[in-house]
Amino acid sequence: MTDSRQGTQETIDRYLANRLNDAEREVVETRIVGDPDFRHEVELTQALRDGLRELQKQGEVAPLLQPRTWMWRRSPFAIAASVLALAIGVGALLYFERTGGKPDELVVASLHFEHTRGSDSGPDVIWRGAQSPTLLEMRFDVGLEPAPNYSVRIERVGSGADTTVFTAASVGIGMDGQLALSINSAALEPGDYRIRLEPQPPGPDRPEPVIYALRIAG
Amino acid sequence: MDTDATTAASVPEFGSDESLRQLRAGVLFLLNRIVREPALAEDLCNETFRVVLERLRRGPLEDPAKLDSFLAQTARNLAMADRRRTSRRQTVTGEQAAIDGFADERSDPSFKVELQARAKAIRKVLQELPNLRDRQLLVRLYLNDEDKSSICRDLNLTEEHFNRVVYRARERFRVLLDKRFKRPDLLCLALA
Repeated sequence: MTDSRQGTQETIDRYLANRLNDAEREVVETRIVGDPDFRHEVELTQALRDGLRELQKQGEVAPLLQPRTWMWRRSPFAIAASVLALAIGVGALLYFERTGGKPDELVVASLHFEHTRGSDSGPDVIWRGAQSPTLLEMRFDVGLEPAPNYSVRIERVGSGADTTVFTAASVGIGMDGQLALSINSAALEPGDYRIRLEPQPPGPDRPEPVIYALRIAG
Repeated sequence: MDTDATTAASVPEFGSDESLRQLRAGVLFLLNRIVREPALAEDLCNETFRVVLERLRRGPLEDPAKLDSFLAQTARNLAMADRRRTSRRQTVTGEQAAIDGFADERSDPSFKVELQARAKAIRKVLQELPNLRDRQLLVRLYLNDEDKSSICRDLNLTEEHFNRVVYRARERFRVLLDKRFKRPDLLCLALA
């Protein structure tokens, strides 16, 4: 963004916040009348402010200002169960590849995770499992300013300890700004899953983890 | 447009119909912002152009480049005159002032739809910002009307980071609204 554009935007922000003096305000208002492009920028900013106020009226601003970190306990039992589940998952994948490695046709399902609904809401994506093993091509929108890489952890959410069924240490962001991941559906039994995308390498300036919820319906 | 093209064409300062339309949109924006009442803003906008047209018929402006400024000043004057007239007419009791204060200047159903769309778009923009500080930044800037320097200081942000977040968020918001309405002119509905 150029300095002049930045200066223009700051002036617009201050104008709409009623923080200009009379002389400055008159200059801005003259420009609003005579410069359609400038007016469109003012209108856009006004629309953004209106949208935020409407969100606040609906009580939706405060939740958006909560950290998105997920509180989960790492008890020794949970870790052991995760390792076991991972081993079972990998074993299931290998078994499938050996026994069903020559399928008549390749079934592919695309799952697009556009935005998280939060831990208390329902799943972000529901996929109804197919009869034949399916390659699930998942695409994740990780926001406006993604980290270059993410570690991926898929956990099955159960009534007891959560179990990890898939991990990847580092998955890069594609040209479209999304994270893409393919996984065989055999690794995911019907149930609820939490997909945790952790920016890599970790650091104080990194974006927060993104957590999506997936339901595999039986 | 109430200021018809025939009248406009007779006044060279207004230029083409398109430039007249743009001038009118600008004046209407100002008036909506001042009076916060779409119908009244519309009336005052027509009145502004009537006054300016009459003045231009009497003789051209010394500096034609100051037409924008002349229109803006006329609109402000008319809005202030209307405000004074209204307050003189009213026998204002405390209750009446309270009732007027709650007058719903946005009762137009199309505006409500527009407002919902905007809320949805800004929700998506906020959800797409993975960094909590960036979300706080936008809320503090556009909802709480806080000063840029104090936001940067409190959130320990550089100016570059601040500018980048605001710029990207605005661009994303613009894309979402354009996708929804196709025509950026519909943002004019924000002005009620």
